[in-house]
Amino acid sequence: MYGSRPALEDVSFALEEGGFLVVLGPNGAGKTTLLKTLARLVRPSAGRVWLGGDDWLAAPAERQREIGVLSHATYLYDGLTARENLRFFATLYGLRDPDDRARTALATVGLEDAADRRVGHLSRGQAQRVAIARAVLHDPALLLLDEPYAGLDPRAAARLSAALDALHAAGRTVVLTTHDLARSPAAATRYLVLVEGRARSEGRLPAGDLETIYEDAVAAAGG
Amino acid sequence: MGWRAAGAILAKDLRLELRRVETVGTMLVFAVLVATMFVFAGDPTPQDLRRLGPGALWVSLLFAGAIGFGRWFAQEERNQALQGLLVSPVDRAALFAGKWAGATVFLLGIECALVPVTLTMYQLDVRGAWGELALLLLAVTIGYAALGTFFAAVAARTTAGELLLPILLFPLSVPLILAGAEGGQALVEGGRMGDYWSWLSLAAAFDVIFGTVCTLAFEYVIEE
Amino acid sequence: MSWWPRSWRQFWSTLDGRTYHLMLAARPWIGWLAVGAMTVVFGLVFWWVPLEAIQGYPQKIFYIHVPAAWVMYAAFGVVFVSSILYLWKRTSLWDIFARCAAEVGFLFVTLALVTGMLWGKPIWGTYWTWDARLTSTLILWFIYGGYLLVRAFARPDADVARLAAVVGIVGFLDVPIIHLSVLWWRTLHPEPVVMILDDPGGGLPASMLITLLASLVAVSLVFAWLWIQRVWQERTAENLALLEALLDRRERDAR
Repeated sequence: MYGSRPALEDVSFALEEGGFLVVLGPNGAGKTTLLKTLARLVRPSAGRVWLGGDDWLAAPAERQREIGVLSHATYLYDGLTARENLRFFATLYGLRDPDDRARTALATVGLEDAADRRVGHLSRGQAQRVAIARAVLHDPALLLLDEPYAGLDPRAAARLSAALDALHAAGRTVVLTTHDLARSPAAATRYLVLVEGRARSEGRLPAGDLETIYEDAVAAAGG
Repeated sequence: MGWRAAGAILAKDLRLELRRVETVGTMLVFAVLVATMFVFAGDPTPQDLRRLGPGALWVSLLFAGAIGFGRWFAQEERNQALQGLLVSPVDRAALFAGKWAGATVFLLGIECALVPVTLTMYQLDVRGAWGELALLLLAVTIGYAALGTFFAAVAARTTAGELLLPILLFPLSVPLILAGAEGGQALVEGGRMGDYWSWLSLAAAFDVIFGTVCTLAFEYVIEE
Repeated sequence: MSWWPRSWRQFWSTLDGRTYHLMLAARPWIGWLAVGAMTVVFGLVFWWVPLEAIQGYPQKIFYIHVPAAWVMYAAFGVVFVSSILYLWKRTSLWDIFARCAAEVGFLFVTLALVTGMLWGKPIWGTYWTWDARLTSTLILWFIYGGYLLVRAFARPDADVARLAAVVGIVGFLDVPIIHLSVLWWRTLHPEPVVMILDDPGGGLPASMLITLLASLVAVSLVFAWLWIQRVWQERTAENLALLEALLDRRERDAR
């Protein structure tokens, strides 16, 4: 609940393992709240979440390692270098050989040369890449991404899409929220439209003209 | 698992602080300044100085701490780093323990400089009871760091955070201030070791009680 | 719903509702009881109880000051218990109990502070002295204030109730330690003037004891009435808001 107004109401959907869900909606629709609920950052006042057949909300904290979260905020420490940040998170997740994991992750996102620069001195696109590395450092099965395209120039956005497609192709389940239709990745398998906290439309992709579906859903809610 | 995470958080905080010694350095300067202001405020005689001294040390530390706790917590708010910690499997109690330990280390670091300066400014002579003084410093600092870290998290969730932190923190820290000032006074006057040990025990008991309570209650503050 | 709970679990889950219903049932009576009791106490204090030898008339403030002090602790105790139960059961009623008790309790801690000062002026010639009792009351006033400020200034997206509950719990646990430390502090540096007759157990003549007890009951009734009133107001306002939200939604769905 946000103050006395519910942020999300009556939202239900299902996603198969290995699927790629795109959650669309205008600002304030509740996309971030939905993602935070899935990430267990927020407890819903009512409702259940199942992950692989288990009651996710009641699962022990240890199982947080099964998810990776990427937001438009990087969750990184500006005062530490990229390498130090990744080493820190590797230790936090209890990964063996954190130095090695950090090095590999940096190589994967193509930032070896910037590894020892402080995150505060990196460009937005570079910081976002370190954030991606952080999100998948512990090899999670489920990826939750909240408006990851925000603030990225077209080249960085393209690189992000490519990275996401690769991660999805490797068998991970992905949930991504965005308000920018033009930047939703091509590999998405399902979509969900949220307007003012309620689910307006959902279905499989490719699904005809997604833009029209979106506009209609928003219009239906607005009137 | 929890201990390693807490240790990692402590190490991370230390590294961040040592890199840009802004917070600790500023706090130290501020603390010495407050100790100085007391002298201007009262124009004490040498006798007054020795009576005020122990108290002035703790009040300076109190104010410096109030600034510091807020800032140490604020660095978790930049880039929403705290959320990054919350989505990880780290136990909330371990998270608190790491931040608490960091705050304690920083405060102790400040005290290393602040104590000699205050002792000199207020013409205090500890009569060789350095070990006892160190013990007292440790006990009071640990407790204050626990309350400070805890309420910094609470205040971060309010819109008047910087003002609310001292308002919440100071009244609840009164037993620690009294223990520090009175215990210190007993050492300076000499021959009142019974009093010293009473105050030290109070501070130690406070640490145990509120260390536990704050660690357990932290998850309720932090969860959204 | 039968009154007797079927199990411990049901007891704890329905405790808030039962308490609330009890309060509602008492509401019409307790106000009149309080008025009656206060009248009786007024009579006792000014017409029955003998004048205290050393302090004279001002001593009579004692019959308000001590009960006010008792209520300020009791109210904080209510805040403490309600806060714990809120964190456990997460129902809105427990939060309402806590915040209303804090509001009304704040009134009483202010009253205790003011009556303490008013008592001091004719006796010691000064409004304020750093004796153990007044000092502890002042600190408690700040703790109450802090609790209310946290509620007032919480961000809209923060769970106010949860935040306040934690503050209430930590605050309450500190109160006895603060008391102890302030008392020790005062024994080490005794104040030149000592507040006499502030310990109801130690050698109070029977008439004064009776009056004090009567006043304790009466003031507690006043607190109870104020608390019940506030809880009822808050609960009703909440129900109203829920109804409005429900109507809003019906409207939106119909479109």
